[in-house]
Amino acid sequence: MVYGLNAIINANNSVSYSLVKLTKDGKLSKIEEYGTQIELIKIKELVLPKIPIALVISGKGISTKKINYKLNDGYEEMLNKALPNAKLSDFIIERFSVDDENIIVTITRQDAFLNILETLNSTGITSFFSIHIGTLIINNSLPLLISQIENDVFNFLNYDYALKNNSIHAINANIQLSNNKIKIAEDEIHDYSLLAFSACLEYYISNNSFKTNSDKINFIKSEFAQKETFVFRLWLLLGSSLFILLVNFFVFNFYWQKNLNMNSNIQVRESALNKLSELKLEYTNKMEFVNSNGLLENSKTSFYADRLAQGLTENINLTNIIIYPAKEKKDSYEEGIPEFDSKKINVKGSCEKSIELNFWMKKIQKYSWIKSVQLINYTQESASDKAKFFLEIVIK
Amino acid sequence: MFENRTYKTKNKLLLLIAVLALLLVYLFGLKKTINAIVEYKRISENYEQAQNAPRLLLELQKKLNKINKSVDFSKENTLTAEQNILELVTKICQEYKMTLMQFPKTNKTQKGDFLIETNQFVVEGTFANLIKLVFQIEQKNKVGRVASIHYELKKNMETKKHYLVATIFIQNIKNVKV
Repeated sequence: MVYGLNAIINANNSVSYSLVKLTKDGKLSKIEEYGTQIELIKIKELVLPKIPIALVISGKGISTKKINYKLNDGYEEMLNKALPNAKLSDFIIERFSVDDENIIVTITRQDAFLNILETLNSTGITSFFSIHIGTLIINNSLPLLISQIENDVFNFLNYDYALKNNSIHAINANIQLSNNKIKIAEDEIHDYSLLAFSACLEYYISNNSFKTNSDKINFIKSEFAQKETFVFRLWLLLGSSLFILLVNFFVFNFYWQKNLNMNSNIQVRESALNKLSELKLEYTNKMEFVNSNGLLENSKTSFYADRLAQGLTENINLTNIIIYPAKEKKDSYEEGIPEFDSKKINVKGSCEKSIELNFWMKKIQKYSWIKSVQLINYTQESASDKAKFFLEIVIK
Repeated sequence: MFENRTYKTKNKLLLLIAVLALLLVYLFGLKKTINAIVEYKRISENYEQAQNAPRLLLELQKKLNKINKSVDFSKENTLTAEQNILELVTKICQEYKMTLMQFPKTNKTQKGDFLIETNQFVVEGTFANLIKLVFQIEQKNKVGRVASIHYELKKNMETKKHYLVATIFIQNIKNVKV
């Protein structure tokens, strides 16, 4: 919803107002006219607070001219072309781009504009989102006024607006008075409401054709945009915070309940858990002991001794066979647990020639259950003496 | 306080307020929920273990029983392991004409829940007969686990004759935990 307020400066310098309300609901829009010559106090009653208002100032003291425009022309040059020797600080200029070489400027006195604005502000009407001077704002309504346009000319309030490409191209004085209803799309409004209505449209359609030198107007427009952003962000912040907290509450509640239930369940089975950890420790220790001592493997000492003896040649005599010798760290089995190396066989013996020992070593090396055969020591004191040897066999 | 400020300034202040608001939302809301989720994951593991505790206890007990059985060679008679071994060894010695030379006291050591009994004895005989004796002990009668064997060829200084002795270590492991 948006209001359009047209402040008309009369010939006797008094100001009268016409007010329009435009409500948009989806694609449908509704225009409400509140008439013309409305008193200021009545406007205050009609306008709902915080609803944006577009203000148009028209009537006496507002001059509109089409001038030639150069790219570097500032407002000073524009004013001099329209009103030679006028002082920029005394005037408000609103420029409307026609094409690359021409613009239409609308000029009014600064004090007249400020008087109207202060009067409105003092009454409490402050929510302006746009302020325009003159009648060129009807450019916003042109696409809706097709039925009123003849030969690219639209006549309104003593002016003929020459059109080109659906935009105002020139403006000429016209002696004809228009006091009729104007058809806007499928609606009709009085001609006195057209400016206010056109200003309203700026809320829904962006129009970059208008620019002004007035800091006051630019500030009001900028503040309105900032206010809209502020309100949107504030609601977004509040909404998102609330949403996050709400979702957070449900998630927290869910996990809190779950944790509570699980904790009470765990407490019920605490003794079983303790027993389980005790058994796990016992199992680990036992497995470690059993594995390190090879207790789970079947002993095959008779098999190993038999096989070693079977492969023996005539000239080799064995004097010592230790199957699973005691582990080196233990001096004797009386000290603690007797531990034996279940992967080793130590063999001592004598032979006449080293070649015979070598042959026997190669032979037993081929046994599937032997991993390696290592000669630890071999001594032969003289050729007439037998050589003594010490072998270490590693079992797979 | 903020009435006289422009909306441009208010927007900048709102950004600051938003950061503070999100920080407060985190501190007083999200942090507690994150902690609850972390706690949930931690408790879940214990909970699952607690749920499966009876089954796991049973499985573990079975495994332990299996270990205990696999290392325990006790016979179902009233004799001790030492007596069983002695009875078997003397019987085989008699049968194969071997001599039991030594049979010292059983060494008993405890490690954790295991009581390890180590019997050591020395037998004199031929290599073939000694192998038969060991085969009877470790494969047929299973009176214990043969932990080590030391075959040694010795010389009788009086007769100047060689003879073979075997020092045999037999271990029996019992679970002493009640």
